[in-house]
Amino acid sequence: MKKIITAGLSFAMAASMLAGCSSAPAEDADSGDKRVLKFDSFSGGNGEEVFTKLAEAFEAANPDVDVQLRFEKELPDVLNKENAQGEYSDVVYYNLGQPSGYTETQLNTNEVLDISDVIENINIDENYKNSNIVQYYGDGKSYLLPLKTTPAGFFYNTELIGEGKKYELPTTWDEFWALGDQAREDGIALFTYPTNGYFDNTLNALLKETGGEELLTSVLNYDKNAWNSDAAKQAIDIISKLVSPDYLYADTVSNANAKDGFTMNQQAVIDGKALFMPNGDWVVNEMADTTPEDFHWGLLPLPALEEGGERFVGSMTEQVWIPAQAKNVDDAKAFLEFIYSDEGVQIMAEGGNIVPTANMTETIAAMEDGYTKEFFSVYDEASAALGAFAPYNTDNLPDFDRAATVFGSIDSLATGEMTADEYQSTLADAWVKLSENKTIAE
Amino acid sequence: MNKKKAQSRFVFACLAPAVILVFIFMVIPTIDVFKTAFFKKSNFVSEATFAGFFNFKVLFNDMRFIEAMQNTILYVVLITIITLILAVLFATLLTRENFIGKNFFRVIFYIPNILSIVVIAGIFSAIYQPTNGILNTFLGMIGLDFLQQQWMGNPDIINYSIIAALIWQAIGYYMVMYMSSMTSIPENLYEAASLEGAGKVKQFFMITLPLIWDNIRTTLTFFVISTINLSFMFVQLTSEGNLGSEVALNYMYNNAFAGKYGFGMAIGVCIFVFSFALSAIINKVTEREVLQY
Repeated sequence: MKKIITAGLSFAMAASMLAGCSSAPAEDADSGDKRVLKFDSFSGGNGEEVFTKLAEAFEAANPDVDVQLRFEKELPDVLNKENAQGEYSDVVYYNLGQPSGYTETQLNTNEVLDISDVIENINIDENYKNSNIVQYYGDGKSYLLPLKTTPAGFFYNTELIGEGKKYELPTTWDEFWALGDQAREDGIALFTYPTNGYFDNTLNALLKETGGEELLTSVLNYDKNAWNSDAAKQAIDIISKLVSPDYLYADTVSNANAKDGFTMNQQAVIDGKALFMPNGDWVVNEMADTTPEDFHWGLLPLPALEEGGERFVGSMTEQVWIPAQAKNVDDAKAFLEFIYSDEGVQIMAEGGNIVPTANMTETIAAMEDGYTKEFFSVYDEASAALGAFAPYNTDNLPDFDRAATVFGSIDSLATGEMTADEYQSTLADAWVKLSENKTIAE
Repeated sequence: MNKKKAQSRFVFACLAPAVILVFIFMVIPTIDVFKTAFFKKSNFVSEATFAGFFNFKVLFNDMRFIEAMQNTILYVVLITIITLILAVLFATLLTRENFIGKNFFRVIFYIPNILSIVVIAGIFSAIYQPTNGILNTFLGMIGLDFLQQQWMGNPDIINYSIIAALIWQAIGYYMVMYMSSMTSIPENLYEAASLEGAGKVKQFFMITLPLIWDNIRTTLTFFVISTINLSFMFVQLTSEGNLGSEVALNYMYNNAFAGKYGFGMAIGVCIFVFSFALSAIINKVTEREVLQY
């Protein structure tokens, strides 16, 4: 008898301890007969409202679909966990070029659905359609859909810099540096950056400015000699001058590497401690709480190399994509097409987001006056630079970190640990490795 | 059934749950880490291709990994030495000496240990913040402007800033550990020593230190493990390993969950071996004849 009790008790103990481990994924609550469309989004500066409206409008048009929105600040962690359990979203909104590299990893492991048919059905601008953002592998097949586009240049305070203001708006790099010297005498720094990752669009624009589309393409596609040209050196020299102690806001690197410290660098521009920073239109919402009323954001394209020279501005896109193992592919594709429909474009525009359709200039023209219209007017005087880094085989180069090499080094330039020449040779060495490990489309 | 057999069954039954749990949550994952380190694998679900020692070969030529291991060793050595000395000193003062506010100090020293490392990272971000931070503001206030620094922005200083924060949080815990063994040393030993003419310092080295030696040995292993773990969390929450402040676990985390799972696990294996070996060496070299009272 005693034996049975003992065994029974110890079994109960073991069972109760193990019971906590098995948790079946919760069943989708009360979606009834409706088909569920799971839209998982990175929770960032664009807010949630616009997606809620998009989802409502899509549900109204497709009454038998239930769009389940989810916003996560650490989206890759959440999705990695779910993927391991065999759970997949239907639509994912997560951009290329994030530190986690989640989207790139999913692309590299063939976990992203080919959406060429969607691209054919929608009215997308040709430049975007043919970019290597959409056609990630450059093989004519499309994987990522730009959800919105925005010019990403240097942001500044129009109340401080501009016609009739304290400082004049520079149009060439010479004027830009002269402004920096002038500001320094007033105790103000010319430049700051939220974190080194914000250089991505600036770098695209700068490369296009110094070496044309040819240089930009060769860099993005890992041409092994891409960084050895004079034009590339010129771009590197401009970056290293921007972050030299003469022009850089002194706290930039400290703040950029503190958790959420990027807002402190952004605040420096608002407070008038630094004049310019690379950023995107989301900074307006992101910093709204700490922006005084007499502050007005402006967007400067890169200054020209010489008087009357062509000017450029990075064109940033954010992407949505469908996991290859999504359960509800049909509705997911319909949802992506809906974003590009007149109604979808309209909803996005109301939230200040411009979908890159072929007639986006009309969309912008029809909008009420405001930041979106002002920011997009930058294209009146500057051309767009657009593109993403091509894929490479991460399995063969596990110790290589592209973001750290290209953008992380900018911190080292700023702290004086690295010179412009060392930066150039670091990049050149990296590109030799990358050119040997490019992912070729199957 | 004889009593002995019944007893051993009872012991087995009592131990079984713990053993099962350790097996499921410790042994199997550890074996899995070792296995994955020999594969090229992007994340949990992606295909794995066997790569032999490829990941390790890359690792030993990877400057960032070498930097991470150097920093880890620097952290372990400096934090252990400084915390140990300060904790023993404070413990001695608080147990052997009588002064006003003794209990107050006990509480003050122990408080950092109650705080989570997330809070500590937050506190030190505020302390080290370059313009509005407490440290630079204080230095400016007392006229030591020339000492103001970019505490978390200067690659020459950043590691020492992190070490200072970790020492601050560790002292209280170890102090309490040493105090507990110091209070159990019989008072008559000290009385006898002082009758023989031994001063406070001599008493400390002849009585206190030998009698808490066993305790110190145990804490040395704790130092190794907790420094490796806490420095990861602190770095992850502040500099994210940039500006030359990379530590081993942070490097593993950043790789394993950024599309290089196999490579990350190879780093994990190195850290596993490293911390095991270091603890074993420390244990061996500090071996002394145990003194009893």
